Amino acid sequence: MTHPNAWLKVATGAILATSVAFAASGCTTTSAATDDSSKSLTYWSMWTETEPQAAVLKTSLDAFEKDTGIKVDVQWQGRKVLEKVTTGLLSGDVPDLVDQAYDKIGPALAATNQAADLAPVLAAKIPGEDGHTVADVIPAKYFDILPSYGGDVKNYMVPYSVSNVSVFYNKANTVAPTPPATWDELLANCQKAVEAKLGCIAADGDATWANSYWFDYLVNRNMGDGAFQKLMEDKTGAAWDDAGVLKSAQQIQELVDKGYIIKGYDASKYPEQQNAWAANKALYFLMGSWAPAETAKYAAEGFEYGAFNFPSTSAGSSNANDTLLFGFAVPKKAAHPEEAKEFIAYFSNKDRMSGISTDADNLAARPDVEAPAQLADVAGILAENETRLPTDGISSDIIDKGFNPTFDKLFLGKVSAEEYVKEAKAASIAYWNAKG
Amino acid sequence: MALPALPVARGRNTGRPRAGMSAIERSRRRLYWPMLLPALLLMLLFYVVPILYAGWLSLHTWDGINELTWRGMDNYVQLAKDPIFIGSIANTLKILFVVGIITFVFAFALTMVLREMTGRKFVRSVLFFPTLINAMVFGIFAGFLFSPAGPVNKILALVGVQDPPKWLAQDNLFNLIMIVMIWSATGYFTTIIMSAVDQIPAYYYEAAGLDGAGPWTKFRHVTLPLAWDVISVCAVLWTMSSVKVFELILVFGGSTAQAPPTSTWATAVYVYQAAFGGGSREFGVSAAAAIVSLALVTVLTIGLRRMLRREAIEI
Amino acid sequence: MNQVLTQSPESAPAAPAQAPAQVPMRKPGRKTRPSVGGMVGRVIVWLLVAFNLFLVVWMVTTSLRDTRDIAREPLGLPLAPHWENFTTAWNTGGFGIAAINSVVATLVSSLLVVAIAAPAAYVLAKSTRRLSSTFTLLFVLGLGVPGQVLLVPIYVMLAKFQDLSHLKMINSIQGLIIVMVGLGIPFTVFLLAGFFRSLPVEIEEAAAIDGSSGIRTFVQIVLPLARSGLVTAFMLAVISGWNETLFSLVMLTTAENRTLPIALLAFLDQSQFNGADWGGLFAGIVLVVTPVLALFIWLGRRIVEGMTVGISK
Repeated sequence: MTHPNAWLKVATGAILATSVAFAASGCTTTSAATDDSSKSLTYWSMWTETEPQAAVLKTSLDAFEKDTGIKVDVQWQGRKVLEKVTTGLLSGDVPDLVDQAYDKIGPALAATNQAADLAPVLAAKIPGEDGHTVADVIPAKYFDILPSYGGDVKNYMVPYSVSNVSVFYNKANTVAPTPPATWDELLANCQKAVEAKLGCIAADGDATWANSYWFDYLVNRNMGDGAFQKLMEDKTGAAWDDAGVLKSAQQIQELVDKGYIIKGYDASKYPEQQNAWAANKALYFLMGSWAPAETAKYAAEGFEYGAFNFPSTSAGSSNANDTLLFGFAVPKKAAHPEEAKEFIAYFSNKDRMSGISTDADNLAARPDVEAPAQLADVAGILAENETRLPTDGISSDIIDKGFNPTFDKLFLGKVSAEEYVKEAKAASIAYWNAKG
Repeated sequence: MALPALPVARGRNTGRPRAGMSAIERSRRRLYWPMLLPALLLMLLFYVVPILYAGWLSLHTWDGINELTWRGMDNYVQLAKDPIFIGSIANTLKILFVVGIITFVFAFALTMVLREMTGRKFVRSVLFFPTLINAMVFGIFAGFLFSPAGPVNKILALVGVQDPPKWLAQDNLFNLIMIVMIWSATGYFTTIIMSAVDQIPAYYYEAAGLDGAGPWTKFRHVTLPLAWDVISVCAVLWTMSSVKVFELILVFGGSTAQAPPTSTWATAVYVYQAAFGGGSREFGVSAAAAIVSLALVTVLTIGLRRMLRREAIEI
Repeated sequence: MNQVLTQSPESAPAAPAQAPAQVPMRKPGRKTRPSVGGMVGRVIVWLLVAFNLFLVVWMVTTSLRDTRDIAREPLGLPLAPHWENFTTAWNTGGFGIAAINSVVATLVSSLLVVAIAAPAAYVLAKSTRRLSSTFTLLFVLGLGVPGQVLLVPIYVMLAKFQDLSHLKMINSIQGLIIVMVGLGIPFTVFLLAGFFRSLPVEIEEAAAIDGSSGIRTFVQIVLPLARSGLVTAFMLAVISGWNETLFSLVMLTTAENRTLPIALLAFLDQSQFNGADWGGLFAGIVLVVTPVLALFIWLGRRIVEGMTVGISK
């Protein structure tokens, strides 16, 4: 009770300070943000600011601002950008332009009919390229393979970067320098690797999304295009009884049983084993073509990135390759959709898009942009083969809940191929049953 | 001894007016609403209304954009059929009981050891500290420390363990999450229990000692009953916080930007994933799962309090 | 037992540094030689302590190392300190602005929550009305409500409120502050009610006899008496605000509004497609942990004892 007045002062001070702090930030109102008098563009990016892709885009965004007078507000959101858009849709706080992989954009925007139709962009002329339209320079197959996810817009995305899932290896390796063309050759090379006390295949146990590429490719090779989709979407589970499924599972079981997958893979957290691969501790790594960029910091001296298409399992088997598309989309509720579309066409310019290859070490969506050296093989694979989407374009919930949990058991060597088929079938039925 | 641990019933008797003290009572009455109302209003806005809203939402299908459509109890039926949801409930219960019981055993053991130790305050502070850190950090640490070529295995190799456990294997992932939880919660509960044990007058122990009681008997017949109130509060606190576990699993189980493996999901993760993860946007299902977790925590808290109260009387 | 606990706040004004529950009962046992079990226990305890301290040291040293170096040898000392990890994290990683946001959001919301909860806790602790126990129960029940139940409803309500008032709620620090205050109310009321309840009623009565009004009694007598409780409540609000992740993750979208946990998550994300930057990541972790660590070293005893006394009531 010695300083009651002092305490009163403290209390008043606290309340004052609080109100000041509120006034300082509290003046931000929604109306201040919407300034319709000048043209503007809000872009939420899947990249964070430190990444090379961000730098490439930033250069173009700055130039775009200068050329068109459209003010660009860019937010480097990172990979969870569509989760942010999803929540933003609840409050009407959406960007004009957003980018991600097709399997994120599709379920989030196309499936809910929240994506603007980008068909006009395809017909738009690219600034600085006399007369060429976007459709002229970006292959039609990249648009054709996009699943509609039940939505009513077909062209909801314009890709600017493609990534192909291929088997990467070190061309400078001495154990098995020739890439295999068939599954049997792959197994033979694996045997060589094991004899040389090396891992054959690098994989991280917790990266189910990447490990399932093995099964996805095998199902495709054994059963043909569209087979994986049929497997996922069959509510009765009968598709799992196909002999090809068991064969694919057995092929994976063989990799596991023979110790062809790098030791410790079942207890590792991505990107542990992928870095081990880059340090020459394993021969092969099945991954999207971001792999060289991701492992560059960890690669052994003299590592020469090479890649080959997933081997065929029989003479007549499909040789399609899994391609992931990264690109732009415009939410239907965007305040400035025209400016967003304008930028998509602007960025499709060859010089601008080539930054994806030269600076970010990835493949641009335009085939006429030269691939970075470490992806030269991948560019070849893309040019020579048919293009499909991983898991035939099926994504989200059913993969997370219906497929991944059982597949993990197979890949991590906890069940045999026969048990796997039985469990996977049951899981698939249970998933659809719960969906009602 | 079996005082209700939460202050509910005790609110009334402490300020009982005495004869001639009606002035203070009167001014208190005048100030009652002005002083209470702001907090009460916030309580209403941030707890009562949202819970009612969640309950209402759980009876609908909603993607967050298009119109709500009535679905009745179907969301709950869907949850009951969803093995992933059942699994996430099981995981929550594991956190509650397995982690809870081990943590309490550890906390008591530590209390007993610390009682007679030099540097106890320092030790207590160091063990307490993890409680204050965002669990995400531990998720990152664990992935790093326990990786196959990581520090833990290197140290084990030095001691001659050539075939270390597969720490981060999917089967072990949830166990490892639980170990991290035990490690970070033990310090907190040790501190609480220690402060309760410190309040027990020394002569009880001396008297017990004169009667020839060993350490176990002292613990069983002096420490445990006298600290029982605090233990039951701790149990309730643990129940409440175990249902909230979220960040740790999100970062621990998921390789970058992916959903964590479903085998590690607890209810909070399920709710988040159903609403915001993987583009599924099932706000109705998410709300139903949230309501189920609320019901779970309510039932468990009430059950636990009943159980603990009865035992207290037995002692 | 309650008697013992309730003594403490009386001594608080006289000796400000002294925390509650400073009861002279520190030496419960006589100095006997520890048993074998006791010795084993001690060894384990010290190992645990060593492990915890190791984590802190390891975190700091790793934050000063080159990423390639960390990947090659996860345990190791920096060859030369790589301060650029911190500049990367602070500038380009967005931790700088996030740190400022975190500080503002945490301090303002903690001040507000204590300011709003204290009067309510006081009347609930001292009132004899029957209604009071219902309200007390309401606050206690609030303690048990998991955040995930409230997440979507609060978000939608804020969005609606934003539409009506044109005050920015979603994706703004002020919105987050309001949420943090609202969510913090039950615990703070619960904690402070315990402190107020332990205050000796005689002093207030004396003040009332002196003719002091109710509000003056509260501000001039009760608050100073409960100072240690208020500080504790503030500290705990600061800590939980600093670590808040779930609501921030959903509410905050743009980089200039991120708080530290969200910046950390975003930084983690980029290891997909462009490789992990372990050095920068650990620098970010240091930024998240250090303030709490400093606070704990500075006011640790108060936090620990306040927290546990508050609970054990």
